[in-house]
Amino acid sequence: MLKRLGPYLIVVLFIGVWWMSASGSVIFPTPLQVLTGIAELARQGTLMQHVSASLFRVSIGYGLAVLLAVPVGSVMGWYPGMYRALNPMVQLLRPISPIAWIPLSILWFGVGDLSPIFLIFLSSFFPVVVSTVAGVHLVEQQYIRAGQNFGLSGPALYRQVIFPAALPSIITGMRVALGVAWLVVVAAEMVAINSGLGYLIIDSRNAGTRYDLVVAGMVIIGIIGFGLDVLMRRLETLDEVRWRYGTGQ
Amino acid sequence: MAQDSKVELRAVSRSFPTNGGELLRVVDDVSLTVQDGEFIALVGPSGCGKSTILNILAGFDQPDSGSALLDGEPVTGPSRRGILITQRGSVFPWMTVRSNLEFAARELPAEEIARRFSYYIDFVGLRGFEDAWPHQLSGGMLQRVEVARALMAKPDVLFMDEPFGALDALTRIRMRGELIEILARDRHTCLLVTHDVEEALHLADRIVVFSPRPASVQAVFEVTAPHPRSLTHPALVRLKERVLRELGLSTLDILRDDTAAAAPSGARSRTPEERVAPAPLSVRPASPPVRIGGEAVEQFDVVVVGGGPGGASVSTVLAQNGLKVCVLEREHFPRPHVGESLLPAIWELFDRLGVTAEIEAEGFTVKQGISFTLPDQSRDLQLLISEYPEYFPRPYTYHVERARFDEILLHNARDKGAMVREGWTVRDVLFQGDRAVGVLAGPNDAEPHPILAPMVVDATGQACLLSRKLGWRRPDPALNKVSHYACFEGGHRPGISEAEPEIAPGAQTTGVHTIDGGWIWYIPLRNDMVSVGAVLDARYDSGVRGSPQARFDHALQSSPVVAGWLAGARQKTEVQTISNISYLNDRFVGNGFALIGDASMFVDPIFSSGVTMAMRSGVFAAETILECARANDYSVKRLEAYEARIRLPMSRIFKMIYNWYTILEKKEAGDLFIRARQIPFLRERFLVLLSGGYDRVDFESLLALTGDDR
Repeated sequence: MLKRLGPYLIVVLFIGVWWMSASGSVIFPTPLQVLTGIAELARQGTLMQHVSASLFRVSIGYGLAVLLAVPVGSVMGWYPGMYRALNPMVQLLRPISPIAWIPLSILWFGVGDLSPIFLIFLSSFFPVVVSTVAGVHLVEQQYIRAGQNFGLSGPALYRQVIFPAALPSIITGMRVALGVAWLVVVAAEMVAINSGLGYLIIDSRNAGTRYDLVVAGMVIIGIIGFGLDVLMRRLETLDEVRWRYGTGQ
Repeated sequence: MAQDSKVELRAVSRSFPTNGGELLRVVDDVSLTVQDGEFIALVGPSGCGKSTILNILAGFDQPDSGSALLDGEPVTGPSRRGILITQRGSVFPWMTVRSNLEFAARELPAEEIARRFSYYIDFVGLRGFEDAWPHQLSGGMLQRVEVARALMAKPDVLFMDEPFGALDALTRIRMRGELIEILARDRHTCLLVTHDVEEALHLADRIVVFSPRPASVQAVFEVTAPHPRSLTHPALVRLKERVLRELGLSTLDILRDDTAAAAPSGARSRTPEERVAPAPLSVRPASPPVRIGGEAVEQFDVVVVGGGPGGASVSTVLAQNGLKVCVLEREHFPRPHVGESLLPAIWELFDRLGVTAEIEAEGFTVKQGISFTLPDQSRDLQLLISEYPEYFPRPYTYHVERARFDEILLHNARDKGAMVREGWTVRDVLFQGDRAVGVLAGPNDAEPHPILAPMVVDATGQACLLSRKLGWRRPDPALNKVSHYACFEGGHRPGISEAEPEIAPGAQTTGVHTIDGGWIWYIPLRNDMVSVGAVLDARYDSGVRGSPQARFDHALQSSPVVAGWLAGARQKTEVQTISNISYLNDRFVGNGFALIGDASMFVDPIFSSGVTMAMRSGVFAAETILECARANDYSVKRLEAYEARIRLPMSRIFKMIYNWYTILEKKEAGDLFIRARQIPFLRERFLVLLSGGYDRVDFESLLALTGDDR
């Protein structure tokens, strides 16, 4: 009983503490004020507008990153020569925070949609490459041999054995990448553009110190990020990949 | 090129670079010809290069020199003509069983795929699991999928590298039988790498023995016995010994008579020069075929391995009821053994074995009860069986010298008609499929031979012959104890406290004295001797420095009572140290076999239950075996009645022991003990339980009464 209710109790407790500490403050909003803020945004239609703008940028940037990173990672994982050639570059670029790229991306792409999409692409690309390489490296020898034994080679071997064997690792990388992408989109929208949830937050503060809307934006970001993670976890429960994660979940 | 061979190796050698950069030769000039439809087993020491040979044949590796041929054509790479199966399992986990099988035949027309799929899924008995995912299947089922997938491709040759190596012993035996059936219906040429000589004997037409690395053919044996084979057949037993001897694993001399005649080709003692020189080996015909001949094999109704109290009990009851029983005991009795305390519940067992008078006449030290010195050391608890005399035939029991006690029981078994052989070693239990069919045994220094019986009882005590063989042993790390013990002369004999009358002159109690990290037993014996032992938690014991003697002394000194009692005594034996980890094995019975006494479970000695429970399990087992004998059916189904009967009291003892160690750990007397001093009916139940009346008092209800129900 307590086990099942525990998480909810924590949320209730958190809101309670927030409420009590905020009720004396002039600027810091109470949960109720935040709720009314969300309702106000929803009524005006700006909420959906910002949410879909952010989601649009993430889908394009993230989608392009996955489409490119999986083949690149596969090639790096399968051909030791490619790995030796490309890995240092990947490891060099990977630790650079996408935020650090903001000035350059504005220089190159201006302040339109392209700039945040580029940043999201950068942030998602490397985690997927790295996890794909690891996935291919971890494919057990006996599966590859069985594939060869039953007449597979070249692209067919990749399609029927290496890719499905590496898929669990790739999906894990994709999940991590989507989390990072969602973090980055908000940051990118704060500086380079005039729509999206990041813009909503920074604009609410700049234009009238509406802290209820600032927190409302944060709450929405949290909920959507949580939802995206749930969706990605769903992928991990597919029968095709579940063998790798263990069946006890 | 002549097409008379299916698979051929011609003077194949292979080396691998080591970490040091040198070349390590793993296969040295191996030639081998395999006919179509033949089953060849490759055996050899582990790491000798057998797997490399298989990899070369399957096209996964290339020889440095020489060539591998399939149907007369060089093998250039892996192909569906020769499928390799290994113990690591390569069923694709991302596909269902159906997709895995269909994958193997994917280039064929759809109706042909469907036909083969339907045929092979039935073939391996996986109908109903077509759409299961591999992670939902057991190891044995997965290995069947593996075989079925290989057969779907209709390969010319099956290469099997320890295919059942990752399975447990019983599944492995079952899979072997299934493989024979499959091959009988669907003949394939097979090459099997195994380190299990029995597996090779069971399956192969020819056994090729390889030398230690680099692998070279050392000997070849033909196995001509028809299927299904009984590994207990004298000819196969002898062949097994010969193969083992080639592997340097047999010290037996059973080949004395025919060694010369049967000297395998490619004799062992090749000089280094001969080794280097290419020695093309004509493998067929090789050694003379082994003939299954009509030698007389000993046959009993029941073979009992081990002649301790459990083994003696089971064989006595069986012999009393007219069964032909053979007891095989490694030692010559009497052998030295610890002094031990019995339980009053043992009287009915003595009566049952017809040994009561003899035991009474022996004059063992009378045990009237138990005294506990609890962790606070302030007061003790003395529980006397004579307080409630109506529960057991006699209100006392004995402290016995096990050497003499065991001797009486085993001689009694002999008197009652069992064939008792002391100084006999059982090398192995013989199985046919998953059914025990006898043992391989002989006098300690002589050659073993098969002794057949439809029923084998494992009474080997902590040696756990069968449960180790079958992987059934389950030690409980929570009850991992170490005992140090010795015998003393002239120690204090505390006797019975004055409040109660002595039931016999010189009556004693079994003393249990709690100390840091465990407890001490204090068992007065005859001739002014006392058996004293310290049972310590293994972790605690490993924290104490010094020799076993030092650790033993340290334990004794931590009990002021015991230290005082032993102040003027002389230690007469060296300190013995044994591991006392408790275990409760997964199962106690199988087809044609049962485990009794310590071979089935071992519990901590705290409640002196060992001997009494071993004898009780012997009597229970005997009663079930008698029913089996009447029905002439020793199947696991019937034998399970014994297991069900003995598990209940055993699980009660386990609970009691857990409770005891909880009390020790918390260093407080525990409600049960405190209240047992005060509340009469609680005291009564507790006493009955401690006397071995596990079926008369429900321990759970006792705990519930005290509120000690953890």
